[in-house]
Amino acid sequence: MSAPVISPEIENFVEAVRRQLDDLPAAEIDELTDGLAADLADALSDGGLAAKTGGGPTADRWADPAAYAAELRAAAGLPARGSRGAGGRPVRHVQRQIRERITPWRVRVQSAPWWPWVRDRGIALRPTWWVLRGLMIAAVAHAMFPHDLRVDARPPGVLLVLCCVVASTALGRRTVSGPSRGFGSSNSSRSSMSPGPSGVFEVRRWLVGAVNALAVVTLLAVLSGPWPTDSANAGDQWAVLPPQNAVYIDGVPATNLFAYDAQGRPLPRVQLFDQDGRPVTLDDQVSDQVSGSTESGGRISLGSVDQYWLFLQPVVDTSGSPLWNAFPLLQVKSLDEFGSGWISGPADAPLPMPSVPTLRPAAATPAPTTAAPVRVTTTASTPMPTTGTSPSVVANTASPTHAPAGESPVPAAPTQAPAKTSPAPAA
Amino acid sequence: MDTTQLLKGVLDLAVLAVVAEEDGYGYDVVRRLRAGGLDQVGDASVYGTLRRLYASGALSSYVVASDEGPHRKYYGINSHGRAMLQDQIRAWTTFVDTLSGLLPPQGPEAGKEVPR
Repeated sequence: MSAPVISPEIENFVEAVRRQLDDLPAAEIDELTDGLAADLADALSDGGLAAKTGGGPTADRWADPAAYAAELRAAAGLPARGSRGAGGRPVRHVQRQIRERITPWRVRVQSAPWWPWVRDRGIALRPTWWVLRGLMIAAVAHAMFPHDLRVDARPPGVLLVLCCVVASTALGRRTVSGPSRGFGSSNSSRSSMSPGPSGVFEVRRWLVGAVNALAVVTLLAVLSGPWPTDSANAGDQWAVLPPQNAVYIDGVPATNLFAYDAQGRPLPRVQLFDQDGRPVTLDDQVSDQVSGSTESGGRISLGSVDQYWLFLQPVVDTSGSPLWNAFPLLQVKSLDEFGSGWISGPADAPLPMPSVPTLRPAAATPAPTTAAPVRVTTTASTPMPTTGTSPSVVANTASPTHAPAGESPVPAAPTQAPAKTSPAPAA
Repeated sequence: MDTTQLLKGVLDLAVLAVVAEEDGYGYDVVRRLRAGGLDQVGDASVYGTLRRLYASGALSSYVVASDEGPHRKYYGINSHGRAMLQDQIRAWTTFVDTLSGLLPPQGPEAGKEVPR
């Protein structure tokens, strides 16, 4: 028997018949319409016989896939469409109603001259979607899993991404070559001696639908706004926007501050306050003293050896309380992003510049009391006096002090403990 | 007389008889039924009947792939189907005999509907 030619009319007709059967289980639809395209093509090429006997599928008959489907299911002993009524599955009913609304639009779109072009592009892009879908599912899994399964350059994360992408691609390929939907491409020699388990296709259709929906939602979320790259700080990042406390330079928040004295030499420790005596802190994340090891420096590559995480941590005062307005903040390198795997303890942050230009002495400046005074180049009043009884001395440097100038809104700032002995904050 | 109504009652028998003669795919069965004189038979009715007989276990089915076109789904009769066929032949013969006995001697309409 020569192979029949499947015209687009036949494909459309088979599709329309399938839609008329869509209240039935998917496996039943497949059984009823498997090979139908070939049968119809035969009937069409057998037009002489059909015309002579008047019983064959003629053009006007083809215009009514509903009648054809009704005859098919009646002969197969299946209930008429819609006769299941209230006893039927409400989901199917809703599905059918939606489909019936969509069908006119679908037909219109599919008959448009640009449709083949769009469809071909869509088919070509299908593998891309599978990969993208895998990535999105990996992102969701990443957000849900605990931190030991994170998506960065570590084996578990890479494995997670790989697994998701492979699974998504496999699912896509199976779906495409799955139930005999595409009659044009069904060259596979699938033999079905027994009826397949009717639930399997059904379950898979729902599964694919759910996975696709999840991936689309995730993709939209990723595309439409800032997405936490680090789920550990996910909550914090949202809370930080906009920050309540920050020092911005050129629109970029500063992560550390460095003071230089009048001679242009770096000052190892200074405490900074604003005009009202409030401590100057860099951002809420940093000033949240509950987490003493909040990540501020991000991750810095050490090149070929490994990657480590950089942290800034505060100097503590004599009572052991962290001073987030004491600068520069100390720097900690850690193997992980939680600051628990230190590879170097709290140390001085590297200076941005070894020295800066020396100031010219200003006439209006109050008389310096030490050899290395901080030149205040404005006439603003100092928010608080530095008392001589509790000097804010940092190890091995002279304390920058100046004479009191006017009323001070707050008492003297706490005294820093030497950096070398500062206890490590809770990781 | 509406022969399509008559046909409905005997379509199983006709299809079983045709498939018992030789395995066939959907339209092949339609063609053989029509060639045998059942020119009113609708192809969707035949396909549905084949499906139902298959579901009831009277037929087996297998798919024959085609290189150029769509695959064809063939149906063949099995032992259960043969037993069913024999039952239906007996029932049909009894029915025809009974009806013939009720009719006047000249040309009973129903006799023309015997498939072969």
